[in-house]
Amino acid sequence: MKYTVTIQGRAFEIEVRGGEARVDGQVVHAALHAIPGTPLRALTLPTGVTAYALARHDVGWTVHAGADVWDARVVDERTRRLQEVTGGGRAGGGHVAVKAPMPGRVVRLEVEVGSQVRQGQGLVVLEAMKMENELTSGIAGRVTAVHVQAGAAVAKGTVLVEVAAEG
Amino acid sequence: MKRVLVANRGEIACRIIRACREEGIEAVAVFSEADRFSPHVQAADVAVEIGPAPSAESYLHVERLLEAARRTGADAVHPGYGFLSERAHFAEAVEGAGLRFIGPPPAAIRAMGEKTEARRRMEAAGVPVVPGTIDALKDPQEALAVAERIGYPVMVKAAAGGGGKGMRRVADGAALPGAFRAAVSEAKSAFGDGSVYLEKFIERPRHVEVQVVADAHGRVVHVGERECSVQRRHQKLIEETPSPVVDPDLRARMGQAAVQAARSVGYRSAGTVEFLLAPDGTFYFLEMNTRIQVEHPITELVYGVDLVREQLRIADGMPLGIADGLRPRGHAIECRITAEDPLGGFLPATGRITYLRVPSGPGVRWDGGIETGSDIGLDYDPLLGKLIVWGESRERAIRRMRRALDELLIVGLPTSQAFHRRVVDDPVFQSGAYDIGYVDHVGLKLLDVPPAEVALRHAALAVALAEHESRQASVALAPELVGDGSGGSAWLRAARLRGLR
Repeated sequence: MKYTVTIQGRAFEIEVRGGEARVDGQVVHAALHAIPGTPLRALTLPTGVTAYALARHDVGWTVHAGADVWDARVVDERTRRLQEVTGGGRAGGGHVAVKAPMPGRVVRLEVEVGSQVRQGQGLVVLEAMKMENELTSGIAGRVTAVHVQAGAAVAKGTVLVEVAAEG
Repeated sequence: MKRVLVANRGEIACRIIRACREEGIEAVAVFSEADRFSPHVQAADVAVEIGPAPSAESYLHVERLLEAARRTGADAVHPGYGFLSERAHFAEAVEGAGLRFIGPPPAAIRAMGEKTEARRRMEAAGVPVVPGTIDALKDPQEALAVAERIGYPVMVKAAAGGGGKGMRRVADGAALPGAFRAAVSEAKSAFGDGSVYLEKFIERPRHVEVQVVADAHGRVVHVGERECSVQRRHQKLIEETPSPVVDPDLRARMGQAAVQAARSVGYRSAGTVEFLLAPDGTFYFLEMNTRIQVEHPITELVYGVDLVREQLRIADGMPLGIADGLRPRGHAIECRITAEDPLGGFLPATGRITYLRVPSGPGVRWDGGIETGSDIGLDYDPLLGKLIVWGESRERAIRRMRRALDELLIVGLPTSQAFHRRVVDDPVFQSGAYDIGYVDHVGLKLLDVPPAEVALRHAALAVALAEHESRQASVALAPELVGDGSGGSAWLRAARLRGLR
C-alpha cells in the first residue's frame, strides 16, 4: 500500500509492503513495535531506535517526537487520486471561519458584519486562562458573519467570525 | 510547629510537602474536586477536599481553608505562590485563627501589594524607581499629560496587577487612549480594581530579581540574583543564575537595595525584589513578590540553601540559617514546562498525561506536579513542572539542560518543552546577550524554523507503518467486510496473522 504522509507541511510518499518500506522511492529497512504498557512505539532503523507516541484522531495522527508534538495526515494513493479529480480537501474560495482555539469567554468583538479587514487584523478577543488572546484574520477580506456576542462563553472549536477574501 | 496546611496545589504544593517531611513536620494537603488524584494529595500526611474545581470555590476560599486547618489540627499555613499567597487579608485571617502564616507579616504584603504604595515607600527608602506616576490616573486625558512629561514610550500598568496582567506598552499618544481603556477593563476583570498608572518604558532592559530572606530577629540577607529576561507576555519561561551581566560589584549593590526594600516594610520570610536592569547597568525597583517564587530552585542549587526550609524555620521563630555574603557556585537554569503549545501560538493545551519520563542523572532536578494519568484542564495555572539543572559554568549548564530536555518525555498534550529545546541551541541565548525582548525578537522565530528533514522523514515513516498496521488489523478482524470472496487469499491470511500478533 502506498501512502502520502504530510507532517509539518512536508509530504512524504511512503510505500509499505511486507517488512519493507520505501520512502520517496528509497528502500528503508524499518520496523515499528508497540512498547507494552505505554502509548509509545519504537521505530527500529539500521541507524538506531526512536520512540514515538502516536495517537490517532479524526483526520490523522498526533505524533509526539521528543520535545515536539506534530500533526500528521495520511492518505492512501487511491483516496489521493480521487481528491485530485474532485478537488476535495481544499479550502474553497478564500473563505475563513475563525474558531475558538480553546474554551473561553468572548471579551469583545473588534469587527462587525461588513467590516473590511487586513490580514493579521484582530477580529475578536477571547479570554482563557485569565489572559486576553486576540484572534486575527488569516486573510484580507470582508467579515461575512459574526456568530457570538461579547460576554458569551464558547467551547473549543466554536465558529466565532467568518471572513471572505476580496478581490 | 507540628502540622502545616499547604494552601496550594501542583508542583509548589509537592515542594512544600517535601520540605515539611524533611523537617519532621506533618503536611496537610487541600484539594478541589478536580485534584482528587493529584500528586500533592497523596504526598501529604492528611488531605482534605475543599470544594469544586473553580479556584474561587476551593483554593481561593479562605473560610474553607481555615476550616480544613481547624479540622486537621494544623498549626500553620503555607500559601505557596499564586492563589492567596499575596493577599494580606488571608494572612490576617490565618493569624486571626491562631495559626502561623508561613510568609511575611500582613502589613508587609499590603505595603508591597499595592504598586503605588510600594513605589512611594521605595522612593522614601532610597531604592531607585522608574520615573512615572504614583497615583492612579483618572482618565486617558490625564494619562496623555503625564506621558508628555516623562516621554514615550510609556507603560500602562494595573495598580493591583501582577504576573504581567494589565500591563501595556504604548509607543505614542495616538495609541494611549485605547491602551488605557484596555488596561482598565483587563484590570477590572482580573483583579476587580480598575486603577492604572503610568511609567516610563525602559528600552531593552533585563529583568533581574534578587532573593531576600529575613527572620523574626531583624536579620535580612540577600541570596544573589536571578535573571528572568526570557519572558513571553511578561510570563517567565526560563530563569538562570547568576545573570550573565551581573558582576560581584553590581550584585552587591542590587543586593543592598533589595535588603533595604525588605527592611523598609518590616519584611519576614523569603521574598523577591524585582528590578529592571538597563543596558548601562542602572537598575530600577519594579515590585516585590512577597512569597516564595516559582524559580526559587536555581538559587538553591547555586547558593546551597533550602529556601522553603528557611521559611518553615523562620515561621517557627528560629534564626535565619543563611550566612551573609554567600558567593554563587556554578550556574543553574530553570525551564518552566507548561501546558501551552509553542508550535500553535502558545495557546493553552489540555489533555491527559498518558506517559511521563522525567529526566535524571548528574545535576538535574525536576520539581513536578504531574504524573501519568494526570488530567490537565483549564481551571488552573498551566505550569506542569520545572526542569532545573546545575553546571560548573553557564556553558556546562546549557549543555546539561539540552541533555535533560532530550530525556524529558510528556505524552498527552503539547508543552513548552519544544520552545526550550530550541532556545538552548540558539546562539543568542548561548551568548547571554539577551533582554526582555528576547522571546518576541528571537525566541518566537526559532519556532518558525522547520524541524530537520530527517526527523520528519522518520516520524512520517512511523506514522505510515502505524496506519498500515491498523488498516491490516481492521481487515483481519472483520474479514466479512471484504466480501469479494478472496477471504482465503495468502495476503489476507498474512494480514490476519499480523492483526493477531
